[in-house]
Amino acid sequence: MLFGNARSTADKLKALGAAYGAALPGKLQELETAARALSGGGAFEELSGPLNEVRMLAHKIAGTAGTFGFQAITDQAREVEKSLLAAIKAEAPFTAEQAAGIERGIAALKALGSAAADTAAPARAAPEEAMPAESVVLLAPQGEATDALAGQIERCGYRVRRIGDAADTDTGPGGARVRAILVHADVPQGHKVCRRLREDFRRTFRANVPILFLSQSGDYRSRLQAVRAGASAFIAAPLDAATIVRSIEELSAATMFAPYRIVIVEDDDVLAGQCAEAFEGSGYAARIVKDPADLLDRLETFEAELIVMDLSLAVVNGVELAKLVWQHDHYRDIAILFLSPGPEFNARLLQVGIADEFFVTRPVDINALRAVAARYLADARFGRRGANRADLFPHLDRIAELKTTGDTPRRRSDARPPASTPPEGVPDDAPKVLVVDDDRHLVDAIAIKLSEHGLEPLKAFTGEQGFRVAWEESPDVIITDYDMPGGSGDYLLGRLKDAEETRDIPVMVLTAHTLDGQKDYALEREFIGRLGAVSYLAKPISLDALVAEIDRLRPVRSDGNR
Amino acid sequence: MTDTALCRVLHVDDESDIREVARLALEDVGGFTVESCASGAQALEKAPSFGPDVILLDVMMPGMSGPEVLDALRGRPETADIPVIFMTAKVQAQEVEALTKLGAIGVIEKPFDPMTMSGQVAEIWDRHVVR
Repeated sequence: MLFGNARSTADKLKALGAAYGAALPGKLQELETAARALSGGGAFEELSGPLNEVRMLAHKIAGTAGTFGFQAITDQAREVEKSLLAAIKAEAPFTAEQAAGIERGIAALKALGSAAADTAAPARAAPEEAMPAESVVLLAPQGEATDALAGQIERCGYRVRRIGDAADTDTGPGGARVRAILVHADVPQGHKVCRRLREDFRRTFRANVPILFLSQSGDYRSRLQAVRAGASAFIAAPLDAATIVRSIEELSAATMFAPYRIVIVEDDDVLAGQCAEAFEGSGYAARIVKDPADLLDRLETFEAELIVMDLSLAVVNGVELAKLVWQHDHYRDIAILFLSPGPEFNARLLQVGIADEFFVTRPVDINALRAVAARYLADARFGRRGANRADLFPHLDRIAELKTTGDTPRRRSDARPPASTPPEGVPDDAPKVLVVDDDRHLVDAIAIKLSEHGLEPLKAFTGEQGFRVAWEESPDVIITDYDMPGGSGDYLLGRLKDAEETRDIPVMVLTAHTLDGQKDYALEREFIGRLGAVSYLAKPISLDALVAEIDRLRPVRSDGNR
Repeated sequence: MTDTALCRVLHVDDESDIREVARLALEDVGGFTVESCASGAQALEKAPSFGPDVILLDVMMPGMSGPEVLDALRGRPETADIPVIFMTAKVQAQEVEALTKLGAIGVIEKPFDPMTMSGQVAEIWDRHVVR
């Protein structure tokens, strides 16, 4: 008799559940075999039989697994059934993509089925008195797969403390030493919880507990999440206990406990400080190298995984420095992230077929820098080691060449380059007016007029370029065309208003849009109301009127003069 | 025992796992007398002799489907009045509605919870009897 020794209904149910779990892989195999007839798709008439058969099998599993406690399998089988049902109702040719979708669904079911079978297998009896002295915290969604994984890890000699979601914070180590925090990618906000936990452990037990990031997929997004979680290891499916436990053991090596290590090569103190602060704030270890000559020495003592390299260093081209690093056998796997001089340089890179994703554009948006750095670290630690070098090394000479030919002025905080020296006849402290227009003749004409009027003209020919010059030079007034290739006036105004340094500079918009030569008040409202310009002039413009308008707009200086 | 007490349940499902767990749920938890059948044909054969108070009928079965079995039961004088409850892994809400319209006194969704299933059956039965 099946339940001869069972003590209660619950025990009987448990026994039935175990039997069902053990049989699941077989049932799922049957489903997979039936689904092979659908592979590659085909005419509906030919496939309606197999479609119905596979649907019936999926339907049975969906209706049954949950009764035995395997709700995740029910849910997944239901998804597969829904897809099949939709195809059956459509009576349209069954496409190869649809077939591939069904195959993926069944593969996911099989993975869940294996986990269920593992849970159902009788656990190796552990002597009750030998309570493991070491534990791991497991932050993973509720479900059979997690139950199975926890069971397997426990059988490897660790106590497992389960946390279902981010709201559950009752995580005391319970007397056992916490060896690792395991966080599953599917837990919403999991990266925040595990970082917080690690901080708690660090504060309370002075222990640096490594984070292992678990994911069903090894894709880029997951690896990036791992970096954001501050993980020391990344484990993609199949998530088996043996791999996880091996990883926990390996992490005992002191070096792996270290946070991500970043070297910032930057001679601008302010920017270097901002970058270092941002990285440290993310839990990374950051070191600043101000003098490029010190870089190799620094790398000898600080095992960097990522170098943030400014391309516009005062004494050496950053590209040459990168070459030096990557040519060194010990440092060839270090990822290098370049700070590009500006969007225009990126545009030149793209023109010669070099992806500009490797470059963070100045002025540096710290959040963007952090995000890109995380991508690099994901590659360096969990992805292809040396991927960044492989992608960029062959292009370094070309990049250096582009850098030299199109060298751009340095920032305000650096020595001002000759390019912005006022033209002859213009006093050193002359007010600066930036003119942005893709019509170079017009820009030149306006520049001459401005110089005659004792103003220092600055020129830019695209919106992007205009923003960079504005940010670097802080002009007193900006005059910009509205319709330009390479960043419209709309774009320029948006960026100017977003940046603290440029927000308050008055902007005058020039446009060829007019109503029979009259001012278009709708446009005026658009420029001044929505975009934050202070004035609007219709083309063709009178240069005298322009200068008069500039005089009106220029802020009054503290000495009372304009 | 009064006429309105639910006592004997005939359960029809082609899956042996489900038959086993449903028997456990109905006998151990619900205290009913249970007979299980693996197909519609078997159910049509057993129903007259077993004399169930209610028949629990799986909807999707190979051979005769649940609705076909219901139709056949209604066509025979000795089983025409036996109340039927469908059990289905419903995918869409309108399916449940359609099943009720066929003349079933209720629908139990699959997967069911073995610990509460007999309660569900009793509840549907009670509602039916009061009507």
